[in-house]
Amino acid sequence: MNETVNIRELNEHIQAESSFVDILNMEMGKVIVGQKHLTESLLIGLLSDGHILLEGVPGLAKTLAIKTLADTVKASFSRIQFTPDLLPADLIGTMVYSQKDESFVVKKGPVFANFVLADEINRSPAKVQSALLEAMQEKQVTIGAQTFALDQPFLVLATQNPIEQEGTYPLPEAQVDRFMLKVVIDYPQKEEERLIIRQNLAAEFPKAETVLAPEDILRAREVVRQVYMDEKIERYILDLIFATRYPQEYKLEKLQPMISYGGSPRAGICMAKAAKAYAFIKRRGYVIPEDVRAVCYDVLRHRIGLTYEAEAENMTTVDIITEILNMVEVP
Amino acid sequence: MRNVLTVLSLLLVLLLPPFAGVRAQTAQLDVRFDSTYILIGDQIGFHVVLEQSGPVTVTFPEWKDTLIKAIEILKVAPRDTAATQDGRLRISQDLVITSFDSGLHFVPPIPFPLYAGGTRDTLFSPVAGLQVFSLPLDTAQAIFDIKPVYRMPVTISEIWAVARWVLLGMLLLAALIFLWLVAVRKKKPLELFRTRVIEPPHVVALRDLEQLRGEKLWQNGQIKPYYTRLTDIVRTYISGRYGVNAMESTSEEILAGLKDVGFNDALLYGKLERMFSCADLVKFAKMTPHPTENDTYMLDAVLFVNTTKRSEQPETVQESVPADDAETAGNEETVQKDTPKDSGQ
Repeated sequence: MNETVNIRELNEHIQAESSFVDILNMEMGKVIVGQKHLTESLLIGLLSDGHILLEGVPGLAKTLAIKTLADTVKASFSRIQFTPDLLPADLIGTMVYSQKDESFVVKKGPVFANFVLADEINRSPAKVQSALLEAMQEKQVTIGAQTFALDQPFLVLATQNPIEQEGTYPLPEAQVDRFMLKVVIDYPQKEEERLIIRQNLAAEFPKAETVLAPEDILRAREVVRQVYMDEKIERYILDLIFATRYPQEYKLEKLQPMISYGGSPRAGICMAKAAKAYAFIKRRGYVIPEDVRAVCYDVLRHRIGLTYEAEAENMTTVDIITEILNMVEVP
Repeated sequence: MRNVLTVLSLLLVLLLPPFAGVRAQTAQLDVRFDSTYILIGDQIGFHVVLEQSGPVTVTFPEWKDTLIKAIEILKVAPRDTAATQDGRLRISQDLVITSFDSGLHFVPPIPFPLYAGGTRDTLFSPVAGLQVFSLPLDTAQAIFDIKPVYRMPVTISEIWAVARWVLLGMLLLAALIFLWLVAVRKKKPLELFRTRVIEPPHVVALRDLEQLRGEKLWQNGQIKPYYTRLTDIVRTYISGRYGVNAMESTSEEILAGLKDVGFNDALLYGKLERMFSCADLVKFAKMTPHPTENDTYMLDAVLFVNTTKRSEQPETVQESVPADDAETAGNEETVQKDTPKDSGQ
C-alpha cells in the first residue's frame, strides 16, 4: 500500500516538476515549426544526460533547433564547425605563453560550454572526433597537466549529413555508441513548410525566451531518475536488446544473417534512461511500454551492425527494429 | 675422232674409281627391314647401319612419325656406336615401324649429309621394300570381335551407388515391419493421422476467463498477476478474432488496431480502453484498484467477448502424427489457436 502511495505521490511530484516542459516546448515552437520528434529528442537528451547525434539533409533546422534549445536555457552555448584541418587543441583548448606573466596559461576551447553543437562532426579526422567523444564520456578535459571538469549540464549535439560522403570521416561504431540517441530528421510537412517560408519572410525572425536555468535542468534530471520503471518494463527492454543480438531466440531467424552485431549493454542503459525521460515529458511518474517503443528507434538505430547480405537486400536498421518490435511480446 | 673418244673413256675410267673409292672407304650405309613382308598392322624393326673410317662426320636424319606415307614410325631407339674388328666405326639405329596400308611399299633413298676433310657430300641409303598383306576376308562367317570386350574391375564406389538404395529399402522395410508389429501387439489399427479440433477464440477466451475468476487471484492479494492474465486473455482473443497483433502491441496500439479493422462499438471500446488503462497502471505503476473495479473489468472482458464473438463451430483438422506419438494416434485432441501465457507477475 505504501508503494502505491509513493507512486501516486511521485506521479503528482513529476506532474508538478515537468510543467516546464510545456513552456519549453512553447518557446521552441516559436522558432521551430513542426519537427516535434526533434524537439522531443532534444529534451530526452537534456533530461537524461545523453548526447545526441542528428542526421538529416541540409536545411532541416538541425542547427537552429539546438541553438533555440540553448536560448531557452540560461546556459552557455558554443558551435564548432568541424573541418578536415581542425585540431584537438582548437576544440578543447591549449596552453599559451603569456609574456606579461612569463608563464604558460590555459586557454580553454569551445568545448567548455553547457551546450556544444558539433556541426558536421564527420568532416574532421578521428583524432578530433576522439577528443570530443572523450570529453563527452568523461565530462572533463585535460590541458597540459591540468584537468578541468566541464560545466553541468553538458550536452553535445552533433550533426552529420548523410548525403555527402566524399572527404568525410565516418564515426567508428565504438564512438557512435557513445551517443545516446541518433535522431534522423525528415522533411517538414507541406503546411509546416509554408509556415517556415512565411516566418522567414517576416520582418523579424522570432526568438525564443530564456525560461530555464541550468539548475532547473539538473533538478529535473534528479526527478527523471526517480521515475518508476517496473520489472516488466526492464524485461521488455532486455528482450528488445537481446533480440538484436540473438534474433533466432525470438522467432526472427530470418534476421540472423542480416545482423553482424547487436546492441551493447550501453544500449539497454540508454533505452531505460530515455524511456524514463520520455515518461517525464509525458508527465507520468512511471514508464509504460509505449515509452520504450517511442525511444527504441533512436536508441538502437546506430547500435545495430548490418551485414553485406542486409545491405544487398536494401535492409536498414530501421527495418530490423520494426521487425523486432513486431515480434517481441509487450508486457 | 674415234681414237680420241676411246682415250677419253679410258681416262674417265682411270680417274673415277679413286673418288668413288674414297667415299666407299670413308662411309658405308645400309638399311633393312626385319622382314620383307608383314601382316597389316604388325610391327617390325627397321635398321640403319653406318660404317665409317677416318675423320668423317655423317649426320643422321631427324626421324618424324613416318618413313613414307604408308609406313609409320612407332619408336626410335637411340643410336648405338661400336668399333668393328677392322678398326672402323659402326653406328646403328633401330626403328620400330608398322603399316596399315596393304601393298608393296618402297622406302626411297634417305639422304645422310656427310662431311670429310673439308668436303661436303651426301650419302644415300639403298632402297628397301616392304610387302604389307591384308587379312583374308571370310565372307562365310558373320562379323565378330577380334578380341572380347575388356572387363574393368568393379570399384567400391560403384558397389555403394547400388548398395545404398538396397540398404535404404531394407531399413524402410524394417521400419514398416516394426510399426506393424507394434500395432499388432497393441491390438489396434495403425493410424498415421490425428484429428485436432481448433477452438474458436471466444471459446478459449471465455473458458480462460472463467478459470481466472475461479482462481480468485485478486482476492488473495495477487492484483498484478490477475490483471496480467486478464489482459493477456483479452489480447489473445483480439489477436484471434480481429487479426490484430495484440500480444506484440501496446494498449494504445491495440485500441488503434481495433479501430483500423472497423470496430465501432463505442460502449465496448470505452470499456476496453478503461480496462487496459487500469491494467497498465496496475502492471507498471503498482496501482491497487478498488475491489469493485477488479470484478467490473472481468465482467467487461466477458461482455466484450460475448458481444463480439463469431458464431463459428470448432474447426477440425487432420494432421500427421510424429513417429513418437504413433501410439496415441486416433485420439481426438482439442487445441486452441493461441494460448495465453502465464506471466505469474
